[in-house]
Amino acid sequence: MTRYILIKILRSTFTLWIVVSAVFLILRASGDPLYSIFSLGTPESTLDVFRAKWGIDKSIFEQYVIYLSDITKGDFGTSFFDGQPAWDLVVERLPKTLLLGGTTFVISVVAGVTLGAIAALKRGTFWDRGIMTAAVASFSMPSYFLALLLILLFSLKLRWLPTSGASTWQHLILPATTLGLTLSGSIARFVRSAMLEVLRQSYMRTARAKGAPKWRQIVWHALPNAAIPTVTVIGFQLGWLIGGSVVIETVFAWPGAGRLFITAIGLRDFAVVQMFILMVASTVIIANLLVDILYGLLDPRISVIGVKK
Amino acid sequence: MTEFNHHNSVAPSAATEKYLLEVRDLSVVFDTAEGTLGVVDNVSLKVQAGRTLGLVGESGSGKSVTCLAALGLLPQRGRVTSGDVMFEGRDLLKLSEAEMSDLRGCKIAMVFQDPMVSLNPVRTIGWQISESLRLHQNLSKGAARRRALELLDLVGIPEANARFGEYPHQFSGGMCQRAMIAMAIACEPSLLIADEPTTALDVTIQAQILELLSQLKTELNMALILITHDLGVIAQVADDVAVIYAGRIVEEAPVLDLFDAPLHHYTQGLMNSLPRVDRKVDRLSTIGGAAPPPQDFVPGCRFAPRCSHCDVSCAGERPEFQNVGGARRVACRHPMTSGG
Repeated sequence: MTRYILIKILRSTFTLWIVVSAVFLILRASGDPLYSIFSLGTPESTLDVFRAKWGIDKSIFEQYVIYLSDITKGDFGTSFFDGQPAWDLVVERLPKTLLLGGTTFVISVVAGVTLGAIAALKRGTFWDRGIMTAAVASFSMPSYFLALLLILLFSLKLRWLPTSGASTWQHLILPATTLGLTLSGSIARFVRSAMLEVLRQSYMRTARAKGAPKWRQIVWHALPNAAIPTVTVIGFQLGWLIGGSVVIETVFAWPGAGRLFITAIGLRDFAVVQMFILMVASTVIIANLLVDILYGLLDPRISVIGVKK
Repeated sequence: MTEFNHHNSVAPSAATEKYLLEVRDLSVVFDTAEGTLGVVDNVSLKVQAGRTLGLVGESGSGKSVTCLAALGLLPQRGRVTSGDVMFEGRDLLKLSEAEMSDLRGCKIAMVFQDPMVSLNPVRTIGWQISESLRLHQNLSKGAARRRALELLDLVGIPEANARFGEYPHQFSGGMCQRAMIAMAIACEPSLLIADEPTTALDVTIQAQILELLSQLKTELNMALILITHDLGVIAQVADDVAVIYAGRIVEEAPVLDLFDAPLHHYTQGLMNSLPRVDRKVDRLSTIGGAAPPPQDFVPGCRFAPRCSHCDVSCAGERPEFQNVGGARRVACRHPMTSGG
């Protein structure tokens, strides 16, 4: 158990190091942040003062070593733009992102699993075709385009929901629906194929032969088995969810970390971009770890922690 | 709980009441991409309470499909086109899905061929046995557990208490089949259908499972339909035998009569191909050709293409059943000559 977790942590640290290094390099290669922050015509002498202050006058290698050693001390750098610690800037906006992501996630899992199961049970019927067409359409459509369509319909035409901001719960509906449609579409497809696979297994016939009513066959016999492959997919989608929220937060002016990230990229605000990427990478790694553990709980044949149950 | 409904559209005749289960002229077709295939053709079977009927045939002969159809467990593309299945005075084919659910696992239970995949891999053995009890007997969780432990004990699973919480993958094939049997007999059914219950198991385990089935049959006074391709198994446990070939019953007889003197050439062929300890042979005898798939069924006698005794008359009409004295019936124009 301890060994398993230790190996996991080591590997995660390695992954994070790769991600952080890549982002570090790419950012430096993208150009001088001074030119995005200061107006044209600012004398070079002034810029040099700021370069020295922010430590970007040193060689890339020196900057890299300083950056890594700062991280280990829990210092994630300071925003060039407003002088606040990058950590504070990101963490401060995190609750809004989590609210949007969490709502989306819950909606998507509930809708995706239900619709996917219905499609599998009604295989080949109007329901199956309808749900699958909608699913393919929803995850094939770029989310910003879907967002604009929804705004057009529910905000401009029907005037039911606000287009942007985050002050009331109504503000949450459109962004969460946009993200949720895409996510639930792909979950529904995976649940459907997992369910079809499970439904033709012999143990489902045993459940019928036992006299279990239909709902019981589905809820107690089929779904727990279909959950095993589905959980992996949902785990992967968590990373996507954060990536997707970056775009959606911008479209709906949702004051979360994703929007901060887009702004920071525009300004080449190194520390903030790095902080955000680090956070996303950690989330994905933690999500995968949770999936591994959940796997072991769902499937008694797999013993993740090397202990035979 | 047994309700005899004498006002049914199909009034049970005196003959019906003698039998616990009577399948009459059951036909089943499968809808496939190549068209509709008739896999079971006017099959009739009778099972008396407390007796064992052996249903013998090669794979694909329709023996399992007959029983699945009787229990309403056909896969989606299969459907019954004619016949009725009388059980305790009711036609099972006319019951609603809910009524069938009440009956399945309670009055009629089924054990399947491959126990390792017939148990749910993510549920404990104990859970799966208790489920039968809780579904049909409204037992509390604790009571169901106690009864499930008794059942595990009854089917010869040692250390029932410890094994109750284990998963199917922690059981051997033989132990899985014992657990399946425990699940099936949980509500003391009056009929147990065992579909090739020993095919997936080692020979030594086979004997134990057959022994267990016979013993439980006597203890619980249930009737048993044993589906198998193995005449050896039939000889060991069956009271009566029905031989099925290409979706039709070709011969019916009490087990001793059948082994004494088979009447159908197919039955004879099956017996000749059995290895015997009392005869020295260099090579086992076989039946020429192969059992046809449904799309290759010929008109007339379906065994004719493989039969050394067939003549022109066999290719015409379907051979009718002839009563050959006692409880024996055979569907052949030129049955083997022997005791009627």
